[in-house]
Amino acid sequence: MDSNTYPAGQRHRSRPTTDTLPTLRLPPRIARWQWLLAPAFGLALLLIWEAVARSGLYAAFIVPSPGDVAHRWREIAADGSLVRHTAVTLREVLTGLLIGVAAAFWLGYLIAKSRVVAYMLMPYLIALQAVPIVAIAPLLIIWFGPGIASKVIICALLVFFPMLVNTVLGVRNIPPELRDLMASLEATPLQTFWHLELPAALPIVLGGLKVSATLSVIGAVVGEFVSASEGLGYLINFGRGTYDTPLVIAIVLTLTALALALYGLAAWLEHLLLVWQDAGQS
Amino acid sequence: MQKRRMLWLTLALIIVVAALAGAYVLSEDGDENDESVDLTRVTLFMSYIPSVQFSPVYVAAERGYFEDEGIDIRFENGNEADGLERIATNDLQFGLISGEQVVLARANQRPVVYVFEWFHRFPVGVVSPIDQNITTPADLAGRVVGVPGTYGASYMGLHALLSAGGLTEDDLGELRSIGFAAPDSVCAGEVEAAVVYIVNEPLTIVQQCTPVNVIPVSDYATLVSNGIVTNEQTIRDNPDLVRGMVRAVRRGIADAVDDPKAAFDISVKTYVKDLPDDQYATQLQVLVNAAELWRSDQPGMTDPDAWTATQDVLIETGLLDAPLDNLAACYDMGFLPED
Repeated sequence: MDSNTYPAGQRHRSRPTTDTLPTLRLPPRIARWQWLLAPAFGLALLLIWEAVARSGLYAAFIVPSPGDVAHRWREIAADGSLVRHTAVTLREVLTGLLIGVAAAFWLGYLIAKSRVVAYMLMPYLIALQAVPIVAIAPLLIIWFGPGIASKVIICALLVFFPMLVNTVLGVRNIPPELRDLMASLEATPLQTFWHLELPAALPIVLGGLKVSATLSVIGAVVGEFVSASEGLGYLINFGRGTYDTPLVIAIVLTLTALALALYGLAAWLEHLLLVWQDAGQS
Repeated sequence: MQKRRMLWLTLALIIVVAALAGAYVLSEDGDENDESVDLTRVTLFMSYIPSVQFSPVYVAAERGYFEDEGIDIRFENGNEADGLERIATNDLQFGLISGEQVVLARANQRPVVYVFEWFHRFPVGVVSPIDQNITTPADLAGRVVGVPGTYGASYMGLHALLSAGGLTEDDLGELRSIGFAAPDSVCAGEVEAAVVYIVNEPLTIVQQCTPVNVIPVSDYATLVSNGIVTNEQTIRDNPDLVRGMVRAVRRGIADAVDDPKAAFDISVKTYVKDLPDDQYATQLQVLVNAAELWRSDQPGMTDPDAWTATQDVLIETGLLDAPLDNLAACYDMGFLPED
């Protein structure tokens, strides 16, 4: 049995619910310029920023111009500190993301399959989600040390919940008739997981991965804010402590780019893994 | 029909909530005006959280020293760098800020000015468990040393100590950023020594786990410590306010130094209300330790050589690229009382 046995109607039904942003149809005369919309908006924001910086409403140390920020960014890129600190943060982010997502997926699967586990664990998992991560981050640093371990744990905690919820949702949303079909084919639990549950839940699970990917950057930075000798969060703290506003903004923009890149990576993974769905729709 | 009724109900609810919120805001404003008749409202920014270490200003507030100067005083605590930014933008007018922050801020075009030296000895030092046998700066060679971060007063104090011991950062076994968790890191054995605020953190470590040795930075270097900082606009537009703040704070410090117990009682009664009873003895000792750093023959007066030394250490640490064009603009002692 392969994934092509999945009914076409199901493919069509599940896909739209998983996209973080709904697909919108543009009028034909605008559609050809679609690729320009986001850059144009970004350029407009940049121009507004430049205008505010030049207006004299705020001192340059409060609102440095985009040119000042770009200059500072080039400086830290040239002296190697940007690459060094980005590599540290990226390592924390990817390790935390991997651990958090893997743990959430398996626990989410277990919760979706077993009501006993759900009743037993869900109140605690929801409570865990309600704990403000900035409040417990200093404790985690004390418990697990100021090295990478504490940052990875903070990161994993932050990405855990959206992934868990999406996994539970994805697995529970599988239509009963498909489960009946697998049962009638006498599929083993492993076959059911591999040929039905995983492909059917994947669109929603990958939606969770996209949210988790962006949150993972926040997790690493929160940890680095509390205690770190390196990483982009440390560099922001350093910039604050030395009154280097262009550095702070340059790093914030770098972190934004990092989060966007991770989101893009998750979206690419989604495209790659769900290509069979698109083929089914066409 | 029912939809329309719901719409009207929602609208009415929004109007009622908005009216109540408006009335509340207006009543708050009214209170402020009532309280501050003929008084200028001033918020004094201080780092950290409300603490007995700030008791001189609590004493000054309780005994009416600020009111005597026409000041309706409020206190706010938070991140020091953020507070100084707000003073630089004139969002706040006064703060208790570390001296090296003023040098760094002025190097980055912040128009802030140090007008009163509160701590006459630099309150930072290195603490280590007594069995580590670290008693001089030279003993730090090859050791794992914790520091909140590689910036700020702690990092600068460490560099001053290393220089005094003929060492550099490279001579340490490891310099580890541990955030503001020195007692936990020392007690857990994660570091062999840690740079701390000497009035309270050594006491915490002794309470938690082990007797300690402390090497105060002030035994080896004269650096500018915490003081009252304002901005150029306030000095230009309202010099009397600056003078009044300085006078009130000076009176508060004098009282707290003379009678730490009374200052402690005032602090915990009104301003540090969350302090648990079992912490009273320790915190009183913290206040007594701090008072020793406030004592001076010339209260409030800063030493120009200390500013030069501070600038030198900042350059050595790489936090400052070059000497300031006008280091003397960092401070202005013209607001001290003449006695």
